[in-house]
Amino acid sequence: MRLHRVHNKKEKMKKVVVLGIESTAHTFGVGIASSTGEILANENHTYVPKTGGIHPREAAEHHSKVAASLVKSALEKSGLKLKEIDGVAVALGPGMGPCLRVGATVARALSLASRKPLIGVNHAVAHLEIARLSTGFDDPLFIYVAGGNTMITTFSEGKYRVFGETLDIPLGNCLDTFAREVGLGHPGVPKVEKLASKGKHYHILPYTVKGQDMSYSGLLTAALRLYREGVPLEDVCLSLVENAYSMLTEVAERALAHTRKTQLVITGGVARSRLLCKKLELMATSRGVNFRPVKPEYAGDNGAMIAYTGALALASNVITPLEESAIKPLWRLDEVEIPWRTKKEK
Amino acid sequence: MEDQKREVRRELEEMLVGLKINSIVAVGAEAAIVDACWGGNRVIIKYRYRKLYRTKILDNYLRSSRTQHEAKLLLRALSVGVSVPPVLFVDKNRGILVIDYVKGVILKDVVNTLESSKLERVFMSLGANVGRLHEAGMIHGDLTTSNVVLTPEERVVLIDFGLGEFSNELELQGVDVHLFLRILESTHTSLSKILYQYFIKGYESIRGGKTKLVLDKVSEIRMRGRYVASRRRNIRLDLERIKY
Repeated sequence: MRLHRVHNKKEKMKKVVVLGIESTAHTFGVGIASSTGEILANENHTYVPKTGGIHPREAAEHHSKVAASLVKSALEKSGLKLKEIDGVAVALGPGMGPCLRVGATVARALSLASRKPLIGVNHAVAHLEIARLSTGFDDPLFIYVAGGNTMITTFSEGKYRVFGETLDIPLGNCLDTFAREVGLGHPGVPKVEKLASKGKHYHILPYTVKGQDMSYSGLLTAALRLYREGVPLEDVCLSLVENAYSMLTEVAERALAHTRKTQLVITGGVARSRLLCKKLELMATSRGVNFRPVKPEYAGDNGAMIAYTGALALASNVITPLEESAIKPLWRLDEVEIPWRTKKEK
Repeated sequence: MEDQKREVRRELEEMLVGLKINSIVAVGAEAAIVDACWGGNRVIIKYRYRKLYRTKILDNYLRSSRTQHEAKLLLRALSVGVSVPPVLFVDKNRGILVIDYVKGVILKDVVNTLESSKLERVFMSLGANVGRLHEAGMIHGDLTTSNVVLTPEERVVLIDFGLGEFSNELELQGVDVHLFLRILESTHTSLSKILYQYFIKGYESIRGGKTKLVLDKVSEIRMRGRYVASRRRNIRLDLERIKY
C-alpha cells in the first residue's frame, strides 16, 4: 500500500511542457506552459470586426492568417524547439465551429509533425485552471464571465459542477450587444463601463434572478428602450451595469451560502471589469470570504490557459487520439473529468 | 460573517422596540433568519438587510418589493386554507417580515425516522396543501423537504415563499412538482417513489382531474432537461432541419 502511494506521488510530480492553441471565438492564441505552472509563452491575436459582432467565418479567416506566425513566435519566446515539447493541446470546444476547426487543424498538424500526443482541452475548464494558478486559490468558487459564458461553478466529485448560469444570453454578450446597438462599437464592456462612471441618475431596470440562475435578455431590451426614450446614454449605462453586475453578485452569494466555500475567483474576459470586481469584493468581505480576480493577461481568451490545462491533463495521462479529436462546439463544462484534482482529494 | 451577524442583530434591535433575539438561524444570500421574542410572542424574522454591493435605489426597491410580495403570498395562502405560518408584522421599506414561530422539526431531518403510516399521512397532507396553493393561483417556487415544518401535532407547515409567484400557469405548477420530485430522488432516494405517490394522492384529492395535466407537464419538463444527452441530439437535428 505504502509503496503504491510513493509511486503515485512520483507520478504526480511528473513535469511536462505543452504547447496549447486557443481558437474558440475571436482570439487565436498560442501558449507554452508546464504542468508545474510555468508560463513560457503566451502569444495572442484578436480579430476585431469592422462592423457588428463576430462573424464566425471572418474570424476563422483571421485565425488561419495569424496561426503560423504565432506558433513561431511562441516557440521563440519559450526558447524551446518543437521537438522539445511533450504534447500539443487544443481547445476543441465550446465555441464557434469555423474558428474551432482552424485551431484543431493546426494542432493536429503540429502533433503529427512532432510525433507528440494531442490533448483536447475544454475551453471553460482552461479558464478555471488558469484562474486557480494565477490567484493561488486551491479550491475556490468560480464566477466565469465572458462574451460567450456566464456561470457559477466549483469542483466536486471529479468534475466542475455548475451551480448557476444564464438562462438566455451571457453577461458579456448583453453588454456587447447594447454597446453595438447604441453605436459604441466592439468590444462593448469597457466602453459601457466608462460611460456608466459618468452617469448620474439610476433608473430601475429588470432584475431577473431565479434561484441560482439569471436572465439578461429582458434587461438588454429594457435598457435599449430606455435609451430610445431619450434617457442620457451615461444614465442608461449606469443602470444597465448596476443591474447586470448586482444580479451576478447575488447569485454568487447564493452559491457561497450553499457550498460554504471560503475562496471566490472571477475568470473570463469580464474579469477585467473593475466595477464588477468591486461589487464581488464587497459581497465577499461581508461573508468573510477571500476574493481575487484572475490576472488581466489571463482574463480574456489566451493560448497559455490551454497549454497549462493541456499540461495538467497530459501529466495525468489524458491524451486525445487523432481520430477522436473532432471539434465539440457544444461541449459542456460539467461533462469533463478532472483527474488531476481527483487525485489530490484522495 | 460574525460582523454581518452583529450588524443584523444591532439593526433589528434598534428598529423593533422590545425585541429579544434568541439566535440568528442563518444568513443567506437574500436575508437573515432570526429567532426572537417580540411582544410576548416567539417569532421568526426574515430580515432582508441592506446589501452594500447594490446601489441604494435598486437595493431598496428589491428589498421592499420582495418583502411585500412574500407577505402577500403568505396572507393569500393562509386565506385559502394552506398551512403556512401567520404573518404578524411587515415593514417593507426596512425589509422586515415577522411571522409566527412554528414549533416543530424540519421534515427533511425526520423522514427516515417516521413510521410508514405516519409518512403516508404527512406526505398526503403536504400534497393537499400544495394542491390548494396551486388551485388558488400560487406557486411556491422552492418546494423541498427543507421548507416544510412538521409540528408535534403532525401538522405540516409550508415555509419560505421567497421565490413564490402568483400564477395559474400549468408550466410553473409542473416546475413546482418537478423540483419536489427531484429533491425526493436526491435526498430521500430509497423512499422517493412511495413518498411521491403519497404526495400525488394528496394533491389529487384537491385538484382532481387537473392532476393529470400537471403530471404530464412534469414528464415534459424532465425530458427537456438541459443536461439530458438526448436533448442535445435534438438540437443538432433541429439545426440540420434549418440548414436544409
